[in-house]
Amino acid sequence: MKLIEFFPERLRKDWTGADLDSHDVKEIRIRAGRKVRVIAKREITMPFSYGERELEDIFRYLCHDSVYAYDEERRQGHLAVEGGHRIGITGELAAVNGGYIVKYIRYINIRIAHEKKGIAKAVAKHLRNSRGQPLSTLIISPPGVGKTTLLRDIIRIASDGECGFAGCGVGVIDERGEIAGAYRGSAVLDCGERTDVVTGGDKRHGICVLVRTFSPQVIAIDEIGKASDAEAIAHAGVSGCAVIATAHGASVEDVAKNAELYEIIRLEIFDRLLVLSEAENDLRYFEIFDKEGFKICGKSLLREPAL
Amino acid sequence: MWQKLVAGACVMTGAVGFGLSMCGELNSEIAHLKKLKELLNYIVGEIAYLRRPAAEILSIAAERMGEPYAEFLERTSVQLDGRNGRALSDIWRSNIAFIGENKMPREALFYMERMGECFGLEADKMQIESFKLFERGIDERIEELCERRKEDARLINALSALAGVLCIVLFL
Repeated sequence: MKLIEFFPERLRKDWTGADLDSHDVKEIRIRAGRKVRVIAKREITMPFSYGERELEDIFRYLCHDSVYAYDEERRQGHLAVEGGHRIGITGELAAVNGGYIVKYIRYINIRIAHEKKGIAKAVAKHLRNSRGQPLSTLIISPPGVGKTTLLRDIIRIASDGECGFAGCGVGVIDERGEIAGAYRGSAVLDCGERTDVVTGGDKRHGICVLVRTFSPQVIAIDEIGKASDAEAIAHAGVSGCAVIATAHGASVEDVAKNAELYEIIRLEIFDRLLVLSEAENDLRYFEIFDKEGFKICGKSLLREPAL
Repeated sequence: MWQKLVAGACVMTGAVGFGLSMCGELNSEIAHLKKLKELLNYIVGEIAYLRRPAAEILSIAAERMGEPYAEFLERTSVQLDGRNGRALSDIWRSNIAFIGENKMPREALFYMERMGECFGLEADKMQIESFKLFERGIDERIEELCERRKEDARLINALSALAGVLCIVLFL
């Protein structure tokens, strides 16, 4: 999806002259009445701004003029569009039917998904056993460093049987449509040949569906952290599936401050804890710990930036 | 005498032909409006049950509806999915021109064009209500047309009877 395709026709002229390489762009930040900012290798301030009406129009356009179909996403404050790009929306919230919905959209953040095949090669050998079967792994990093991109590539190589993996059935719970970039239920981004993707719903329901009927050897989940996530992962663990998941945090200690994640780490469901970090030069590094907390791989460079 | 017979036959055939042509137009309009109702019901069902976005609904509906609707719906769906920057109502309106009056009666085309303006509402209930309101308008129009068809049928009967009387007078 080109950058221009995120905007309705009448706003496109602003972007046609902009000298931006969509491969470099990570985020487009739009704030009502403020100049648009593009986060690429550096932050670029665009020479134009959008008003309240324009933000509403952008949202409506991104919903394909079918806002009703994105009601749940609007409650959650973000929606995924084709290609796995995530659109964050916020502003003034209103209480509706026991939840909150963004009544006035005044801030939009377009997060561009990047598919980087092969970035998991450097970590692959630490995430499988001697028979090539995947080990349960928790990928930890702060937001925007590339957890999901790395997770997607691990899923792909585990599924396809690359880098020493034997190749196995992988079930992906893609609540927000970011891992597989699913559009109308079909994975757009490459998640491997033996991968089944559940898009939407919640983790618990998705795991139940996969475990009951698709018998995956690995279940992959993005951004865990809630009590219900912990229950779902424990369920997957007892069902005999390896679990590969991601969580926000700068370190293992940071993640352990979350009571639910602490419980999962304490139960030793994850065989490996992979900490991903970003250096000032935009490169990504990883460290890997085993379930007892022993470092099995020191700070190493991913083959290329994960985001 | 044979000239009178031919004239009488011409008058009767003309009266019946005129009546049939009027009824044919009305029947075609009613049939298209009923087809639009079918499309509306399908759209409402998809929104209420699965909350599918419009592009997806139109694409699936294209497979069910037959021509000239199928081509229009598929074209609109593809353009909407293509992220060409245009709003659904714009795409809909411009694609109406491709159907043309030779494939659909003018009045059905007018209703079809207006249907595109029903999209774009926020909540599913609002969206469904908008379509239902539009559907009520179509229902009323179908009733009017059916009523007119009955009147036309009566007119044709009367014309045929008069033509018959004229023929009898001519033959005598």
